[in-house]
Amino acid sequence: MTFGLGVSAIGQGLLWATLGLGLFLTFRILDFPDMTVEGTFPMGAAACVAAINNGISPIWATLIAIGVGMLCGLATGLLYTKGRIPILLAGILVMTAAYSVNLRIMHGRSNLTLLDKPSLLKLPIFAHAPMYFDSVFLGFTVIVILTLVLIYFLQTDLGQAFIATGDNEKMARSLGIKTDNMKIMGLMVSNGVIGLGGALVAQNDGYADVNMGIGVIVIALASIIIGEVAFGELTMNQRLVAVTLGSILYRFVLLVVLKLGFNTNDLKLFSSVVLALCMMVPVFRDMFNLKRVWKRGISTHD
Amino acid sequence: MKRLYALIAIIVIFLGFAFVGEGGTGKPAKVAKPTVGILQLMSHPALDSIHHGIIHGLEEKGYHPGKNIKIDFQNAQNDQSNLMTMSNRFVNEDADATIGIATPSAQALANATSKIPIVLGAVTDPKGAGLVKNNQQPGHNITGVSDQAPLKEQLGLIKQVVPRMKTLGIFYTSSDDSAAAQYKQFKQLCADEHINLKAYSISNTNDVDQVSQQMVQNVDAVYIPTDNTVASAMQTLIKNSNAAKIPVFPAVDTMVKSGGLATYSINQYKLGVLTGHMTADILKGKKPATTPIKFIRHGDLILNMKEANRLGITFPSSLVKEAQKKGEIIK
Amino acid sequence: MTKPILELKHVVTKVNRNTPEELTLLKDLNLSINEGDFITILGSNGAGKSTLFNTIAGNLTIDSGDILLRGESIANESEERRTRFLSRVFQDPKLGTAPRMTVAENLLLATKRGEHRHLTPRHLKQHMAEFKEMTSGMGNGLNERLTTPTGSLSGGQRQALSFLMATLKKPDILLLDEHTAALDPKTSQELMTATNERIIAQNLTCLMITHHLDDALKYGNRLVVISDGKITYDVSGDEKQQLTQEKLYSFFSDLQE
Repeated sequence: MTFGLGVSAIGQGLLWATLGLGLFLTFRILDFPDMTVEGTFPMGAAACVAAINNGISPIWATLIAIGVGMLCGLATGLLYTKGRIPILLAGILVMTAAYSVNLRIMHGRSNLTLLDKPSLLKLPIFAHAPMYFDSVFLGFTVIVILTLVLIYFLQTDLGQAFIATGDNEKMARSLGIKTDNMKIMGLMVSNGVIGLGGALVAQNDGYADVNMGIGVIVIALASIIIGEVAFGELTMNQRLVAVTLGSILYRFVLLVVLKLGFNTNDLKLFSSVVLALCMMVPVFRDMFNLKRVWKRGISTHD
Repeated sequence: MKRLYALIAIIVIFLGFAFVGEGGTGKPAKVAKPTVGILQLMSHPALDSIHHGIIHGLEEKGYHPGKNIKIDFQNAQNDQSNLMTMSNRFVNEDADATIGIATPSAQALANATSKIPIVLGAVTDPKGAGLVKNNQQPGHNITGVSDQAPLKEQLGLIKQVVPRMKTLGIFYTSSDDSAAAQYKQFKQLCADEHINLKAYSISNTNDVDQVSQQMVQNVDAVYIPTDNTVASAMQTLIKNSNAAKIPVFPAVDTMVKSGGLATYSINQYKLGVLTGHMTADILKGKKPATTPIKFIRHGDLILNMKEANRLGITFPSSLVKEAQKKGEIIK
Repeated sequence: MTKPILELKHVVTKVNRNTPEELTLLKDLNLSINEGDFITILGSNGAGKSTLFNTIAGNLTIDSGDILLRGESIANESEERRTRFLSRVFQDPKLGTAPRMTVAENLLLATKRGEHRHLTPRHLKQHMAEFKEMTSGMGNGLNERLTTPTGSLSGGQRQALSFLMATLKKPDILLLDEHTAALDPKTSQELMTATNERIIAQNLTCLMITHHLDDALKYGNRLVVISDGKITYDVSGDEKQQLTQEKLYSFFSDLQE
């Protein structure tokens, strides 16, 4: 047996971890579920692949993907804060609208390929990497940069105001924090990161497809929740790292399931059951009182 | 917190071993039994019958699954993130040939390997999808059988059955790349023949009812390309077209059976059989790079008499004879 | 005579405007607050005490009249904008602090009340000594728990923290909305003493809603009673010093008749 599948799982785990990190900002810090991601993810992919097909360099194409992701976040944020539409609904509206936009981006096609086109994975520095190591190196580089940027951001005055908004909105406002702006900013950053994820996965898979957003919120949630359950109580910085590890673990779980020859028809059911069990871990811990009460809380120190 | 660092250490060590190991070790010793990986996008009657056809085609050429060939069948259930994992699985088990059923699975395979031969089943336009350089000389490790319907033949059939047609409607799914590609070709054909074509597209089955109601008010006949989404919601469409007494000409035989009027159809099962044959040829040493993409030019004529009676349409007797001889009549 | 720092002139505040449930909560209310005033506010439930605070803080917009800060109208400023000069402590200990952030992080947030927050490092460590000293002044062990998430503090510690946060950056106006009401009598008394000391030491201008007649008499230089959306009683200075519970009781019973 070679190491190939394991390496591939790590590579994919790293690339998909961008999604988990993006969703972390809204799901855990702002404390609301943002459905926009299912539209942002394919939009990042579509924008990136369409740009590369138009002769734009993969690096710029990836940056464009981040940009369109941020626009999606802005749309949801405005609907939510200024339009007073509940966040779940605002996200679903933008996600639905994104479908039509994605078709436009890809010139009416539902699927655009990158075959014989440049991509970040075909950069000269990856040329001599063994099989699958290109995605590991690319994913690692992106995740390290992204995690460091997020850590820095959350430790700035602005980042602290952002955390406070999710933690206690009323207090945040009474300290003069413009909570609406914080939410819009959070949604923009989060969806920008998810657009980046779409661009990376599309380049790794070699195509963008208008349906590739279906179910990605579950993948992102899985990274966050598996990371939390596997590593318990952590500081904020460690929690960001745990998301990436959670994403890798999730890929390994899928790998094992496929390896065991599970009927792939049951894969979605399996993913949901694993996720549900992970989310119920606190209940089980309380029930058996094994450890001190597990907190999903944000706890940080210097 | 310790577990966090422990896991990072394990991953790094694993990657380190893999990095060193990948360069040195060759592929494991080859077993005599060849392996074929089949990657299907989702469960669907048309795709399933291609899958069965493939198995039959392999058997006809002397490859019996489980005996002298190993078939690794993977169905992604329309989850595109699975396609990648499954393609890598084939590459890793060093399959001798892979078959991609439907465009996204073919693309995932193409992205996973540039060495292992890939045979396309049910990819309408391999060149348009960027999978091959040229349909005659594919050039890479990819070839296959196109499931493109004989559009010209089908348009001719519509004109024969509805001679006084003013406007023809086409009904397809915008997210289905091959359906959209067929729409573009069909549009060109109609333009050449000076037929007024009106397009109605849907994004998923939920749109079918309303969009088709709208459509049947404005057209004299309806054409449906090879489109899996519309195929699953055929009953809804037929309900509306029957109410307005508008004939529907689908591209595929299964859709005629579920209420379409007539078609020249490529038999999905036969398509699978051809894919199976081509795979067998490749296992025996044929090079994909020089094997042209196979197109099926002539379909079998399928007529639905029950539907014709309901709509008050009589088929020209020449068509009925043709269908009796080399086709199918549904009563 | 000191000049007024905050003036409310003929303020009318309604809620559920243009609906069948429309209610007028403040009815032509006038109040002039001088620099250094420590005003205790009494009033029965629904009299408009909290509405007054929400109107000053900008949670509620006024329908007519004006609010002036040092002579300039702030009636159209947003809640966030008014935090430049105003801070507030709520009755509910949960409302005043961010539960998942530590005590020190909460304090740090408060040092920038009403300011723009930029992408600059927060420099938490440099503030730790200052925070330590400040919290030890509260005498309830808060100084030992600077790195604890506030969610695991006791109610008294959280209210003491809320109060510190509200006065950390000196506000022009401090609003205390029954900030000791949710605590047990002993903790409540301790916090009230600490509050009074800090208000006097910093010479803060403060409005405090209370239900305790004792506290209303004991603290502050001025006492105001609100009933039915208006100021119905306003004493200060010596007159307030001479006020007794009995007098206040009789005043309230007069009102009810």
